[in-house]
Amino acid sequence: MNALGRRDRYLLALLPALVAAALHFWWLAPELDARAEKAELALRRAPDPGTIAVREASLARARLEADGLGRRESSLAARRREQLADWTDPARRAEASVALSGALSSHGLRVIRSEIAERGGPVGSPAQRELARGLQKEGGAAPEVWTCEARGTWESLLEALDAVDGLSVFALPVALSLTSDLGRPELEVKLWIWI
Amino acid sequence: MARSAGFSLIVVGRRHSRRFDFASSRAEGEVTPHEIAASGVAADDVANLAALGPMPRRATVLLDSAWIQTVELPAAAVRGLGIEDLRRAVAFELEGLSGLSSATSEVAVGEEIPGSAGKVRWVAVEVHDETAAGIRSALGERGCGAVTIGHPASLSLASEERIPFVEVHERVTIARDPDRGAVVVIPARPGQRSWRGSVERFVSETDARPIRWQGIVPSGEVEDLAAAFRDEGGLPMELDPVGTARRWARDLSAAGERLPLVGPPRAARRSPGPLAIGIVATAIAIGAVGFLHVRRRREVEDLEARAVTVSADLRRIASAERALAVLRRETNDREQTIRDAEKSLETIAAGFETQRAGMRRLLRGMARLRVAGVAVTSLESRPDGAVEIEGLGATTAAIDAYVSALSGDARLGWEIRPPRCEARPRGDGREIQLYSFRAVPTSKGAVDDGETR
Repeated sequence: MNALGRRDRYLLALLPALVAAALHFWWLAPELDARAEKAELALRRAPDPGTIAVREASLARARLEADGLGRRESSLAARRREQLADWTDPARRAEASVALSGALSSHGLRVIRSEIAERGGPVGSPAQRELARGLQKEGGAAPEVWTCEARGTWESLLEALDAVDGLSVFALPVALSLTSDLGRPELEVKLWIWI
Repeated sequence: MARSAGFSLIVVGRRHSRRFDFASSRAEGEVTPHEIAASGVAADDVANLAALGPMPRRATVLLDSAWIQTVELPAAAVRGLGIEDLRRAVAFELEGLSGLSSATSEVAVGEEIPGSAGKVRWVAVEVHDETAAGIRSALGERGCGAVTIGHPASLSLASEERIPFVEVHERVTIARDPDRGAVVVIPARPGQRSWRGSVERFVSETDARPIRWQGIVPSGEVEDLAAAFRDEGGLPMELDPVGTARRWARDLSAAGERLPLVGPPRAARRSPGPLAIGIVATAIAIGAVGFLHVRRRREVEDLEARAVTVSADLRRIASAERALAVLRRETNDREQTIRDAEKSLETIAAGFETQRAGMRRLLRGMARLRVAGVAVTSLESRPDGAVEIEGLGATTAAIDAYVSALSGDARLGWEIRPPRCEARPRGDGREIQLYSFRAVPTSKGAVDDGETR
């Protein structure tokens, strides 16, 4: 160091300070600046203060709606089960056949025979087939066809059909055959009924 | 090389300049002498001597060429002055005597000595500031920072001995009588008339005997005068350089600040060296850089923390939006499923109702219709859902009227197809018409007359 001039010695002594300053401005500061720039970029994407609350409120409303749907689904499922049970429960068929004979008889029709129908006959129109498919699609059993042969007047037939409608059990007339002799008021009636 | 704990005594003379390195702070320790021929420029001699070997941190330079004299000031004028103010006052006083400006010289004031009535007296040494700066620079470059400058003649003033002495140097002679408290500085070369007169006057005024002769070897014109003294001052510098140096070193260490020695200028004394400046500057730079860095890092960390919060908020929003979209889709699907299921049930129920009401509407319509000459003999459901109706009619016109009336019944809900008629003979020779037609359920349904149930 003694070989150096006075100015050089001062410059040499100041070198560590210059190095420290250079480290700061050329290495440490740029790194921090880059981090700050990245953070500021992220901050510029900050949502409005109310946005989160609005979104979460919407979500809460949607969940409430979903809960409401759940209740509707439960209600519908119960109603469907009940409806299908009304329409297709085999256990009710015996009850239905008895109620049906009663309804027909109580309005002047003389029931001659009632039984499970054989295959064939007038039952099976496109609309009926569609209904049967719909029932099966809903999980119900295919309806059973019951036939009932009886005698009576037009009026008694109409009243009997009204009575069938009023039954608490499912009984649906799906086909009819009637004949009448001229000069005689009685009709020979055959009904095909889904039970 | 490690620096010595000792000090250097440098004596710059008219013919020779010498350097004495004392190994320790004690004058009795090992001494290393160096000698060079004087160049006539004190600073150069000091620089040359300093280059002969490593310099200790402390040195005293004695200049034969320094100006030395006693000076008196009114006691009232200097009472209470600090050492710096006193030096300044003395420097002004000396301007007329030494010819050196107080602005371009450095003055040292020694111990106060008795003066004339109402005055105070000192021995003062004055050195041109360029000379002092050159000496300090030369030594400073060699790592010697604590430098004092004086005149060799002043050192004897520190002696505690009560013996009067006359110390002769090449340019000045100093005489002291401890009993009288008298100090005389004779600014003349030995042998000059004024010198001789001054010395003789001092000797005559001094009662005590013996008077010691010190300094240069008496020779020539001064030899006879010197012979009058009993020489007890030891060998002079020319004959015993080391011994003289030891004596002066002892005087220096004993006298301390009582001697008129020019120390480092106050500003220079405070001026830090490159190393100190470097350390301080580095410390300041590191401190400033550290402060800036820490502050900036805190700012950045704060920004990053806020950015993390924002990112989390954005993720929450995105998550809520995704969940909302999924929920909406599921809800829509479920609603559709529910609607489908409800519709399916409704369709089935409506189908049942259509089935139930259709037959009754047809039968009621037929029962309501009274057309003379037309009777229904059979009604037969067909597998395609249609109903085949047969009967007898008196005439085709009556049959057409019947079918037309049935077809025009808006409450019926059935489409009545045109009848087929076939004439059959009756037993009475007339004919009767057998007819048949189909009733097909319409998709439009019927106008509800309230009687279908």
